[in-house]
Amino acid sequence: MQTIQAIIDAIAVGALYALVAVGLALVFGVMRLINFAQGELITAGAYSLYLTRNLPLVVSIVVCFVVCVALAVAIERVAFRPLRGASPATTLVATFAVAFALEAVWLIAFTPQGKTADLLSALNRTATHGSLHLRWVTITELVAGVVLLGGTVLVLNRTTIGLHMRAAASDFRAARLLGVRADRVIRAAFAMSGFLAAVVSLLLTVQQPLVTPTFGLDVTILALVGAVLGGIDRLATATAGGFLIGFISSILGDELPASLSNFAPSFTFLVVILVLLIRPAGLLAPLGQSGVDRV
Amino acid sequence: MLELDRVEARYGAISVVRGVSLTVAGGEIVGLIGPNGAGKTTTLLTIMGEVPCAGGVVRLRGKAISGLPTEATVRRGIALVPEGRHIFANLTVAENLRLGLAGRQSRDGLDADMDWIHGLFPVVGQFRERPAGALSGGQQQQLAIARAMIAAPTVLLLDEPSLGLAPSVIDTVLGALSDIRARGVAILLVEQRAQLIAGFADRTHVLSNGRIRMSLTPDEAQDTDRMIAAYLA
Ligand SMILES: Nc1ncnc2c1ncn2[C@@H]1O[C@H](COP(=O)(O)OP(=O)(O)O)[C@@H](O)[C@H]1O
Ligand SMILES: [Mg+2]
Repeated sequence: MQTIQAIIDAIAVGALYALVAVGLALVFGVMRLINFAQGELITAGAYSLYLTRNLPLVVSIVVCFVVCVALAVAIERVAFRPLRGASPATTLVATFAVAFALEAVWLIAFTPQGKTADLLSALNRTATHGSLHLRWVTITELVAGVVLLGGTVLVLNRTTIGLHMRAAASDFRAARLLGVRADRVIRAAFAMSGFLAAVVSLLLTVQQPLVTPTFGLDVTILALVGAVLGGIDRLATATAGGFLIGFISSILGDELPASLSNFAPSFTFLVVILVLLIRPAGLLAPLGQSGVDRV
Repeated sequence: MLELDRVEARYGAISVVRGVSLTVAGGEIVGLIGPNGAGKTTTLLTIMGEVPCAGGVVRLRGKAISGLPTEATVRRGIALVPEGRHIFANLTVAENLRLGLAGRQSRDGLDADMDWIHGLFPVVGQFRERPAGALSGGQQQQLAIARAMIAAPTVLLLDEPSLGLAPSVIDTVLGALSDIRARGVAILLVEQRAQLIAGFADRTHVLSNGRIRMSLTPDEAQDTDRMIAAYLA
């Protein structure tokens, strides 16, 4: 039973990382840009939950979504749009700059001390079924993962903006030559990644109610590692990669002795380097694909 | 309909299109031929606003459109069938067609246009749900033209549509262009090989090194190959 419990918990953590990976992959798809600022969206959502802690829960949640989506769209408009067409190195540096700038804002506004956002702490209660004890947040993560992944796929496959996003992801210039509006497609990708970040904020504050300036960064780095390992240029492989890394880190966190788990990040990155040397397009990419160089 | 007036374009410091002037009226096919690297593709991309117009002006129905972003140019009624077709291989044929709607101004008459396009290119209807990458080269070219026509353009630009196609398929494609012309669309047809469009186009301009070196009537164009060979030598 204990193993089953650990596996279910790990699946839930995997779902959370998969959502972060989807956000990264959506933006990467249309912009060929790894958006390091994605983590700051999650942090922003979490601080908004802290700031609105005395308002009705529904209001807090709505504000969290508005903050994350608005910030995502604003970052694109202010920082990335003027750089469109610039070299990938330039835009990559820009995402770092945005991430550091926002982190500085969190430090100044909220100090390095953690702020508590425990609005949804009720989800930490357990539901018992036989000898299985599941926290509600685990169940919520599973449901949110399935619903949002399904929703993302539906948007991409069934809507016009989704079709435009898929076309732009495979050949942006050809899409534009057909009249696809670059601004709209990119804004949609950022808005969707902001929406996903809001969900991650909500769920993450349940497990980790203490919000610090690096709150979102840690998850995002790990999810990014997963997405790149899986293959960030495809939604499916990026999602699977994000899921796997969340799943594995949850299992390892349970199993490894503390002395070893301190080194877990180092080992993770070592594995990343090795995998990328051998399979630059990602572990889950189709055989014969040589790398992400479609910029 | 479409008018280029001493249009110039450059990549960095290198001047590639150097004062090209030409006009295409509705219901006309105008040929633009010339050797590899002459600047044909760049001319078309400049019309689309994809390459900045560095001098001169592009007019559509008398109004200057140079300087508009590509997406806006398409919406004004200019469609390009690009060199190499640029079909979205991983999308279905139907999805590729639907992308053509991005450049369409209004949905009015869409059903009738769809019927007409399916009549013109039956393969497009036949393989609706297939990935476009599974089509043959000729079928992809037909899809590319069909997709451009979904936008209901008044000006259609084609960049070497015959490239890599078998002669029978080229006849199908050129036949479709005649039908499109009959609808009153202004067509600017870029080709490398003169004999393909000689006698088919209402006028053919010969581009070399970014300049129009000569312009031929259909009669003159019968003998084009020799004339061009003589001229470029
Ligand atoms: N993106 C580009 N950057 C720099 N030079 C280019 C670019 N595209 C084309 N050129 C150069 O411009 C010239 C004209 O190219 P192009 O318009 O493609 O000719 P054509 O279509 O007639 O073969 C060529 O010398 C080509 O090398
Ligand atoms: Mg060319």
